[in-house]
Amino acid sequence: MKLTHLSEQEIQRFAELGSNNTELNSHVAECQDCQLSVENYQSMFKAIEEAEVPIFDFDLADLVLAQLPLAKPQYAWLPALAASLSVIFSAALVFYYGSSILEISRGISPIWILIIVCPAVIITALQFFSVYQDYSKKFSILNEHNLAT
Amino acid sequence: MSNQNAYSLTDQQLVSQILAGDTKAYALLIKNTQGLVAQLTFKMIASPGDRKDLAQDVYLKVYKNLKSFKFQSKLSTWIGQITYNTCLHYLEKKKLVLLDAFLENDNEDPDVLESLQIKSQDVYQNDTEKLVFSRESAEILKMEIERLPPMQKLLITLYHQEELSYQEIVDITGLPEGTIKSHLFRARKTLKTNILTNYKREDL
Ligand SMILES: [Zn+2]
Repeated sequence: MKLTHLSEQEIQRFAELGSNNTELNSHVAECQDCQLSVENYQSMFKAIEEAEVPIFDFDLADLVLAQLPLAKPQYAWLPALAASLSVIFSAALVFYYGSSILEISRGISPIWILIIVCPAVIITALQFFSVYQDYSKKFSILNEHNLAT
Repeated sequence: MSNQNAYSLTDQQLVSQILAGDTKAYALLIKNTQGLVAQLTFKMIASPGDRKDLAQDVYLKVYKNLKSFKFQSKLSTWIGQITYNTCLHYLEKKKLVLLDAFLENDNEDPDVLESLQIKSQDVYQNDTEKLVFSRESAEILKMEIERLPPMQKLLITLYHQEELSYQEIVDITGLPEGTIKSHLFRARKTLKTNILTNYKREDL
């Protein structure tokens, strides 16, 4: 058995990891002073582990995500492809059936044409406006972020 | 902290989702790692307003540099390192006194542990009482941790509360392992002594 008490460092190590050293082990087993020191460290370590942790009192993820530079959508080409296809399709329709469409439209009263055309124009304009707003918002965030770094 | 998050995505999976533009994955990453960021900023920065700014700054830097992350450490360790450096840079810029306290004893003798061992044998004192941590003494513990020098306070928290390894703390702080160990040794000893003193005072 080790005759002197364990050093403070040995006690800390013993409290944290135990020991393979039979001399140390038998000393701690028989020495009440060292035992008490070891146990006090162990209960202190446990208390620190269980102590309250600091938490932010705001939603960090929300704040950060609002400032992220515009992420590239994975399928950005998809709307463009759909738009081109529909333009080509409409052009082909007009090209092949242009005269028949004119024939048919002569039969429809102008009121009906207004009812169909006006909402279409308004919806398209609104969509352009929202795309523009979104773009300028993201652009200004991007600028701020670049200035900050 | 494990390499796997609550939704059992590995660091690699999470990073590749974020790089593909998945902002929900980034929100998840923030939720998984903000505990460590909070610990570091609370221990290093006194002003709540500045902590809020710095925490956001950290995650904007993380996002910007994610592409260059090489998985040589855990993602959380890398974020911890960015947080530590961001806070240190802030203290430097503000020329706050704290910085000196943080960097004290930076160049310790490599044999510091041996010398500590000899010193500690000289000043060996018996514990006079058994520490039992109740709800009230948890308050004393919290107060005594706050009273430690800033670096000791930080290291006690990272090692005993966040349960980081020495290597992870080396990666985050850039301090040599010996310095970390000696700060920790002193922090634990001071903490235990002060708590015991508090106990005695309460008894009187
Ligand atoms: Zn003993």
